[in-house]
Amino acid sequence: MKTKNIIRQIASIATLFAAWQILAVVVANPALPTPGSAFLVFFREISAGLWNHFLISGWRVLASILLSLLVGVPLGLWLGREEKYDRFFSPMLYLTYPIPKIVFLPLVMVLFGLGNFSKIFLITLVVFFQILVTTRDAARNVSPALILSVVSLGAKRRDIYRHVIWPAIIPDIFTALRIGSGTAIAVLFFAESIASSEGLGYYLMDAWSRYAYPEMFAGIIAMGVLGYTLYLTIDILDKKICSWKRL
Amino acid sequence: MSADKRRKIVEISHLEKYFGTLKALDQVSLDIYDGEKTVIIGPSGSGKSTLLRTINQLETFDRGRIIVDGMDISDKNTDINKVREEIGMVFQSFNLFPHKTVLENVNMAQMIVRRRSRDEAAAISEGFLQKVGILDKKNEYPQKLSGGQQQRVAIARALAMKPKLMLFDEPTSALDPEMIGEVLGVMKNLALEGMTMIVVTHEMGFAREVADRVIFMDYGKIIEEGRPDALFRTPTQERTRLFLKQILKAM
Repeated sequence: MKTKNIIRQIASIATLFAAWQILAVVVANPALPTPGSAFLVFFREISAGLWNHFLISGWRVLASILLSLLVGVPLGLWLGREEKYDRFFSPMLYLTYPIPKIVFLPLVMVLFGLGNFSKIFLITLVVFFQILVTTRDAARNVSPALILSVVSLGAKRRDIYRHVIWPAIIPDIFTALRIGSGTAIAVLFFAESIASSEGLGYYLMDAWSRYAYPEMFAGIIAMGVLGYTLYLTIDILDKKICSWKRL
Repeated sequence: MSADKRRKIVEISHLEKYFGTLKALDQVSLDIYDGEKTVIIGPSGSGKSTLLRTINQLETFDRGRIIVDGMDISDKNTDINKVREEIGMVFQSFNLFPHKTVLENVNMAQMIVRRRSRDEAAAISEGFLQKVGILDKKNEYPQKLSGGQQQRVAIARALAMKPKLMLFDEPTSALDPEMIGEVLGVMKNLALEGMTMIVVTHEMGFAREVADRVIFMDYGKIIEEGRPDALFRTPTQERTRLFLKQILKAM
């Protein structure tokens, strides 16, 4: 079963590269190198500085996701269960949720400078909303019958939060994390591509401006690897924590 | 049978409850004695589930008084959770925790409410799981179980709190027909052991066999009550007669 899964994963990646290879051959333009040449450059670049950019980007994304969780989950839990506060905050949420937060990059840079924090802040601003909304809706949808049954056993409010609502929303938090980590990398690229000197976004834009297409693709590969690592980590945690879900 | 000599577990007097302008409970008075098995029947919307839920305050009421095991639940100083600890309740939907095994489901309230240690709780849980005939599934997750099995776990979960009174709110209504028997069987055994029970159900066979008293409710009122054989054979009220005719025709 396990080896079968690994074989499937490898087949999936191989198919992607095959498609890339075909496309590169058909397009026949330096702007689209073949996977072979891109990977050659990728491995060369990894030891020559790309690894550092990868680590910096990885740290920024990870910090943003953790920060979003730290703020978004408790807030979502609270709004999901306390209707009167939700009624006050909902309009605020819905007015600000659809705004592409990257338009605040200039403001964020003015306030927090050009360093790590302004990037982390911007990514957090985006991911936080996704986690907040998902957590809130999940907390709101916990079966009232399930809660009543625990109330009938004499459980107190905090026991209900801890033993009923919290476990019920964990799977939804993982879903929010999966969606959020994709968004996080997209925002990361944007934040790092402007007035920046570190990170995969900078590396990519720098290569682009030098018409160094194989290097640019090495950066793209690194970004893919970053996303894939995030998804894998989330999957492993999900399987560990919500093992009851897949039966 | 001189019920009056026995201890009253529940005293309900002149209970009234409104849902908006709808009178859900209308001057309901009812005493439940230790060891008594009461079955409440009536059409849907008659207030029978609402009445049941006021006893452990899953529903509030607007007027009247309920005393459970000496504790006046209309008194603001009464700790309602203390009252709930003494009352086990089984619902139409089984409401087990999907993320906990059968054994953990039965352990949980004992540990967080009764403050029993895990080992202590598990020993008690296993005893009750044995009793409802489902000990062999103790390490399964609820979704692996049939509805009847889940409901038996829910009964074990309520019993493990060692309640003085058990409330059953249409415990077999969500079950496939072939599973109703196994749940009623568990309830019958419980009745034979002397558990005080109030059961809202449409299972007239169960009422006839187990109940000391059957109460017929409609429009939020107790219309008629009596021993099952008398109430089923010779109801005194027209509404009771009509309801029984309908439900027996459907069966």
